[in-house]
Amino acid sequence: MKPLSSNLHFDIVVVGAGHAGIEASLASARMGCSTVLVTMEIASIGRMSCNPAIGGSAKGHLVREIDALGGEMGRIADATGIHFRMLNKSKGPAVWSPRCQSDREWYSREAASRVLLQKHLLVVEDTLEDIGVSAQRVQTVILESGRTIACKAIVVCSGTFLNGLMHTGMKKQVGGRYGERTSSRLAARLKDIGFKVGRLKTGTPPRISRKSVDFASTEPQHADSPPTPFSFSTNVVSNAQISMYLTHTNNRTHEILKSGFNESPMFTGKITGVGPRYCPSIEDKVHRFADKDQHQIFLEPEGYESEVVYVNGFSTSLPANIQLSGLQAIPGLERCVMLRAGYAVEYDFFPPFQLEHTLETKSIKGLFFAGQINGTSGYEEAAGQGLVAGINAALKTRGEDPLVLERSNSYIGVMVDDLINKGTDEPYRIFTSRAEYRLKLRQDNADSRLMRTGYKLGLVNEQMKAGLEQKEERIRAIKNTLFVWSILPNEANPTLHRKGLDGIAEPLRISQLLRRPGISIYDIMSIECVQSNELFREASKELLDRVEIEIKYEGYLKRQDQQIESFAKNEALQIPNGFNFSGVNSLSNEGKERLESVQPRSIGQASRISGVTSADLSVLIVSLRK
Amino acid sequence: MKLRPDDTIAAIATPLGEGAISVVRMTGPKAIEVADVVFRGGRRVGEMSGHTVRHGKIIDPFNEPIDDVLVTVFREPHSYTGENLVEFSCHGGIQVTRSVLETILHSGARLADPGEFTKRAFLNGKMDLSQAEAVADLISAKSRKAQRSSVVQLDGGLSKRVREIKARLLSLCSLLEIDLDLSEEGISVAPRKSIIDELTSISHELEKLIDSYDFGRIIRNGVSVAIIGKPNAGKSSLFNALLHEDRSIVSPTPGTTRDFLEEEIVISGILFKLMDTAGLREASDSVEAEGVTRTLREMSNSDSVLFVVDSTVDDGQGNLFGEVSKKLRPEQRLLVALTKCDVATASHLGFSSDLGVDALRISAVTGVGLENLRNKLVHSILVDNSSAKTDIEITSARHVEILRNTLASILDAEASLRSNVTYDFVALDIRGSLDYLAEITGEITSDDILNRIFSEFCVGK
Repeated sequence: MKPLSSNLHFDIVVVGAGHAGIEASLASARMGCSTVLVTMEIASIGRMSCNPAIGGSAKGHLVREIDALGGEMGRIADATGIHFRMLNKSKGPAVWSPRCQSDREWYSREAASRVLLQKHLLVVEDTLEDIGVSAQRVQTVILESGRTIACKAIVVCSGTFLNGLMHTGMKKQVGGRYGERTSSRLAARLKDIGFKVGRLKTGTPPRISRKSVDFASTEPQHADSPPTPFSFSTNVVSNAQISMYLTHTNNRTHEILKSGFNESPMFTGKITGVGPRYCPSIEDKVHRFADKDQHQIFLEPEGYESEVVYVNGFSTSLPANIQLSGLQAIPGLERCVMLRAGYAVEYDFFPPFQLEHTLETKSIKGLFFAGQINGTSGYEEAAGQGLVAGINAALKTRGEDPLVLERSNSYIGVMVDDLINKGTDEPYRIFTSRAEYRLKLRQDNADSRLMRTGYKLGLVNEQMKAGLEQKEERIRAIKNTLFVWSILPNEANPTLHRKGLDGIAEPLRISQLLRRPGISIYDIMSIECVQSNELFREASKELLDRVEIEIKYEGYLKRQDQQIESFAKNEALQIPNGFNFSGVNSLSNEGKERLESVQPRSIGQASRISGVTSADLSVLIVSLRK
Repeated sequence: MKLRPDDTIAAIATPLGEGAISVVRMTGPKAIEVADVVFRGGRRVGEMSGHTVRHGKIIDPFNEPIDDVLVTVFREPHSYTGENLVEFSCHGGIQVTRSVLETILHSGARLADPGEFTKRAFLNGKMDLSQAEAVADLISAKSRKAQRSSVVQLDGGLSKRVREIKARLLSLCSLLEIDLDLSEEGISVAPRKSIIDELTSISHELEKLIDSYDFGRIIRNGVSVAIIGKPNAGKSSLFNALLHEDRSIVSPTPGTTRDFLEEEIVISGILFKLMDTAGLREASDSVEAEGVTRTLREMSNSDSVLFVVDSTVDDGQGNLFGEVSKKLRPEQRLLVALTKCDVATASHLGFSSDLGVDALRISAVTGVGLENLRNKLVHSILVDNSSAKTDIEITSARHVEILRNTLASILDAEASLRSNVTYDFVALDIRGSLDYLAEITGEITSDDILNRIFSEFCVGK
């Protein structure tokens, strides 16, 4: 690494090297912009502060999208994953979600090496002190060491470090993460500039010693074999897979935890920030769902060699001695040694209605926010935003049009649009239910949805794009064949009868046979004449799954296409920058107020703002034609 | 909040009243196509040139003629809205015009939003640009008015039932979403069978609601009117007076029991079945109990209730009225007749103000007020009695349309569930049904569903 001289010019400064900062800095550097990544500690690059897992329900979709756009998260997870599972396989294809446990230390090392080796990207160990702004545009960043860097754009990905405050029982400690500092100057400076601030809370469970766990009294959870990788560029996951372990709390645990409620920072009002409801602390679960006499606990070893076990499901900020006694009442943990107590952390965030779809702030040009600073939670949510902010910072620097992902093409688009239009009053997590067009936004087609965009940006290479085109061509060929190929009763029936399925009486197009309830593409594949067809014999499982979904559920998918079409029409009705909503007399008062505060750029966006009625929208459309 | 796409819309264009002709207007890309579904004349509407008129019939989905009409075709861009536009001039009175509109709505058009014809005219460049603000004002004013009347109409039993249905659908949605997003592999919080059962039950509920607003049913079957009151309140005199006043008695049929008589009469083209019931006493002894039970049963089965008050005595009829009105279903119409007005003293005639409803003064002897009563009977069927004038007319037709769409989505969801389709697809239909219902009850967002999940279920590791 070059030493920094005092007079520096860079295109882009990224602050924070968590999951958002990694994607932001890699994207901008790969797009050819000179980039500085500022981190408090190089060793903490890509640190998994909480659960060492990537993906999961809806989050797995985000990782596939990040990958299709040329981001890094999926590839790091593939390289370091030690327990892969495709979640929700028994449910519908729209909610199949890849997930993996990674080796925590390995993930961080892998992330750091990719960042450190990236061309055009310089990593410095320092802390952001101040941002130089003139004419509502960022000009410089000033670091704690006294260095000043002139830049065209700043991406702030400061995680929970803005005025972070950690709680365990009645004990409080200033800091953004266990054993680390906080950043209060930056928070104060951003407030000075005029950003509205809010406060959130999140928590993490205790870590226990692997040696002290009696795994024999728990239920092992095996990884998928073979594992499905996240990245479209990973052919095979070669890491050996290890098991995780399931156990349960019981009434004794709950009684012990209750005895500590009078020292709970949550229940005694010490914590004012709002926590995530989808990831409640164990004390919250015991308190709110008093009729449940047990809760699931997953014991997750943090790596092959790691001595640390993550106690998933036991997030808590109760006093440390209560945590330990509560754990020791759980089967398998009777003699467990607690390496580190769980804690809750409160931190400042900037409500995201202050942002554009590009994640640039509305008031200061060239200033971008990504990750927990916007009120989100989760590595994948942070990474998705980091990628959007990094790409747009680079596009802006190059004087090009911004990249705006839509609700109709990605979960990343859904997330960003939710954040800037609705804001959030708890840490925001992605869910599949947040996506209106869920049936089209599947993990299996993220490449078709986004990889061409990644290629145009220069983040996806020629080979990847060629791979996508080849794959799509094969899917088309297989589908066309199934649509025209009529199968005869004597060809199909032996196999169908063997499977306990009704036979056919007359020749039938295979696509129609596939649409029958209870018939899968694999049933079709087991019909001899299909099996012996070259096109099918060589098709991968990935291809066949995709073909099955697209044929079997064609009717539903067409309906979603129509919905998307009407969505796109409304998105295309642009509202000019700086439009004076208050000047439109016929708008309702509430409509005016909400429209003024969000400043939507299209009629479609206006339609998603709460408090805006359909009459308001009609009035708006008419007024725009004036 | 949903934006309406540019589809085909229809509405009654003339004010509701007893005018000789009323006009149903339809515009949009499919206006001519839909017109050909409902219109039977010398030639197809599709073959008519612009600005021409033809005579013919409107037929209902069962191929039964509804009304003789004149159809006028305006081809784009030479129409009020700038799109294809078809007007039907109907002759059969307002209730028939409603049926014509209903038939059109069944055949591919949807009910127009307030001010939507004008808005389209503007957007298609048929109006001066300087009129934009006026158009905007019109839309917002009409919507506010429609919203107000919709609140009036919903401020009662109907509202409660729609809200219950919404809550049940929301709850189903939450269950499906937990299953999809949050539940552990292999553990279902939403067994398929119980979802199907709940959907079936909701669809029955919706069918009942739709039925109660189905004017086609009223026109086919007639409107049953129970005449209710204390003994000697003047029910039978009124019953007979109505029969004798009317020239078009259809078929006098004696009542099947000695406790009530039923007669059919036609007023303004609508068939009414009048039922004269046994008098109600506040405290009935056991001998009379059976008659009273029958009266109450007739009352609860009727479409309308005509409550008769003897205006010459003040003997606690207000209490009885209170009890009767509490027993009515929201879709039942209630009229009050003050009888014996020719001999009543002024003080007793003030009775109606105590009831909190408009009472009609009648004298079966002199015939005073009978014409008014007949008009009110018709009016109460055409217009919801909780409000007056045309707004309710629009909104109730709108509600029926919304409820029908809701029902269709629910039936789709049920069919998907029965053929073992996974919940991500089923959710599309149930969300669709909630989207329709939202037009009555207000927007349902994914946040509403998540809020419900988090408040009722222990989720998250």
